[in-house]
Amino acid sequence: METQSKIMARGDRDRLSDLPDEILIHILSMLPESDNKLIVRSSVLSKRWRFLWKAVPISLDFGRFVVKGNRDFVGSVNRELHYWRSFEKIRTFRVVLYNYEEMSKVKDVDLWVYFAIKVANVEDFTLEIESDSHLYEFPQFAYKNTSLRNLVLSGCKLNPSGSVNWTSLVSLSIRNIELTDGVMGKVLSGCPNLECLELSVPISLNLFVKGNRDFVGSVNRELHYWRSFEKIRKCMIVLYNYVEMSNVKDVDLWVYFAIKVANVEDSSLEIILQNEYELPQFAYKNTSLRNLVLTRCKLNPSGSVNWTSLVSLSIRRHRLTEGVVEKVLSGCPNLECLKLVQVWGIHRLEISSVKLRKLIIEEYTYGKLEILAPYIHHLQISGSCKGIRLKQKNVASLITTDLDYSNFYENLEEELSCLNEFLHGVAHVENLELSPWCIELLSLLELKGWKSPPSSRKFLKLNAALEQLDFPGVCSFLQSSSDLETLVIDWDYHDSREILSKYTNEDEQRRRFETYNFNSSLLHLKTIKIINFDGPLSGNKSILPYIKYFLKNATTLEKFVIAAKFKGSDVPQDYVKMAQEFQSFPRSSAQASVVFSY
Amino acid sequence: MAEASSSITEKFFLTLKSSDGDEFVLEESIAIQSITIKNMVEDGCSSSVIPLSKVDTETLIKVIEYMKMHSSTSSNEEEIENFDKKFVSNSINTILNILEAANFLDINNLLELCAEAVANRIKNKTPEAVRKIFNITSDFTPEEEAEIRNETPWAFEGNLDHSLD
Repeated sequence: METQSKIMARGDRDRLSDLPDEILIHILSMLPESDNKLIVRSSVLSKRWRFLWKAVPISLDFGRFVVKGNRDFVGSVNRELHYWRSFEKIRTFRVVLYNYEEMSKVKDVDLWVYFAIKVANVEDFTLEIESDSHLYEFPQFAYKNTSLRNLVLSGCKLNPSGSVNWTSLVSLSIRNIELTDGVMGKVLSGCPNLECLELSVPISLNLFVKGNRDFVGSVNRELHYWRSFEKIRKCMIVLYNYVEMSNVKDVDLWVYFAIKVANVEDSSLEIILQNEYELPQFAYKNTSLRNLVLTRCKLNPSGSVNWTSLVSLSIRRHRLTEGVVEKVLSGCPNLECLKLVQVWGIHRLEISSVKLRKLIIEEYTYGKLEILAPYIHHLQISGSCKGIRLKQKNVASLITTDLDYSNFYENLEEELSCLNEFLHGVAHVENLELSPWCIELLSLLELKGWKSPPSSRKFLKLNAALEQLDFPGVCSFLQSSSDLETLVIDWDYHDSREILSKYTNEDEQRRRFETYNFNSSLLHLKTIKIINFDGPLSGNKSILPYIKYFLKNATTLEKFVIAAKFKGSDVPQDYVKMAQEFQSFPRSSAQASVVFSY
Repeated sequence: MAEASSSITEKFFLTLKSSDGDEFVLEESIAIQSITIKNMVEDGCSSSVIPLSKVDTETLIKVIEYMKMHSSTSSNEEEIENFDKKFVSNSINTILNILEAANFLDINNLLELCAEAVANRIKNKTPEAVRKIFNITSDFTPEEEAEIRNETPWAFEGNLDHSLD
């Protein structure tokens, strides 16, 4: 009785209002960011709540949901700013303005910048101006501010008349911007704590076709200012539609900045032009670069390479010459990851560094490529890579292989023999992951009477929502995986079995599965996980036979987990019922538990 | 038993005493998720029973359940996620009790979890509904309230939820 009355008394009290200010403000700050009105409304609850809302830090974003052509966009931003200025702390302010016209809108944009820089003292400010004809001139008062940490400016003209003072600025992004002589130096000399600088020059925009050469020229003249900035970690140079060979010297200078002057750690050089840009010789010697991405850059070092700190290197969209990768690698003693994307032109790739453990190849389609990499641990192959040849003895240390083949409807026989050869090459690998197309190829190989080579793999991940069509292929592949301990099936991949259906059909595959003896001895299989499962379960002709098959054949199974893709109320009704039905399936391992998670 | 326990690292236990006088024995490694308790342990005040005069038995049981589930050694991510989901479905009064306790005991994760649960009960509701759900009595006169609404009329526009769920 006593407890009962105590609970009652406690229940009647306004316990929420009794909490300290900082907790109530924290609760209010957890209301959905998209609707700050919710926070303001708390003012009317009681006197205790009257002014709490003002201390809640908020974000203002006029860009995410803005539809192009909203006539009164400017008016509505102005109105909203009037509402929100009562908040003491506005952390983020972002505004995107389409169809900027100088005459009619400059005062409004000035007002927004004034609000961000002078009134609200925001930490993150993004101003994106889009216009075919005008640039917005960034106002003079905005060059002095000590609260800004992240600044993104697009479609603006920067021209500070005095010195710049952005002492807290950590990251600066400049896009679609016109610079004149001396500007970049002035800006950077006012940002002593800058760590990240992004400069994008999408000169495909009409606005910059004429101004382009000026831009490149002015940036070149600025570069000498940049050498005093030790903290620039990342430098990205992106030039689209760069065609004029006369500008090669300019790009050389930018590379010179990234590689020699600023000693940046991360550099991404993307040059998209008709003639390949040749990486200048001085760029082959650098000791601070840790990550480097080169797109369409011709590699041709005349002397030795010296990239001693490089940890990851990506070479993209480039025709390699025989031996050049080996030459580059010989100068990268600390390289851990090499990524080749859409490269061609070589027949042999030899990696002899003990530290280089990860090799990623995407889309190697022209010609054959033999890989000799005795020390790599992790190999990932994506896209169409039918040219790649691998021998077990050449990749002896391989532990993990991710085969993410996709179908390009080319020569099926060639793809089949490629996968066959590949599976022989990685039979010793402990962890294997297969893409939907690989799994379809497995079925096609099985139809031809092929036997998968015996393997010592312990972990297998199949990325496919398995169908009846896949029964014989998958089960025959499992027969060759007698050491398997963990099997994961990711049900998120619903690819059509277009090619496979040309050679067989569901009834036939089911009949073959039932009549042939596919019962493998899954002697070590302890864990099976089906993840991202969706759709109804009862009467499901694809998943139920697999569940029965595994429960029947995995003699040492400990745990069978089926995890639904959707959680909570999105889960179909029949899951609860089916979870019980699973318990009645015959199983060969007494200790096997079936866990259905949704 | 004695042999088994001596072979592994020795475990320390603390005794927590609720405001109702009930005592709970808990492994020190679990209890120090509470910064308040951790400080007491470090200051050497934990040799005897730790009295938690602001936490009643019912709430303390919930808090201990939470700390056990979140202690690094035992549970996996999925279990924790499911546990948290169930945890926040407690009645709003229980959540407020736990929130108070989490604030007093300084258990940051638990505080965040409960604060979010409270925020979820507030969002999209009319002020009237929020008052009813949390037993907040308005101490404004009708004129005063009208005046406040008038200061920020735009904040009271739109479709609001009058229900008390």
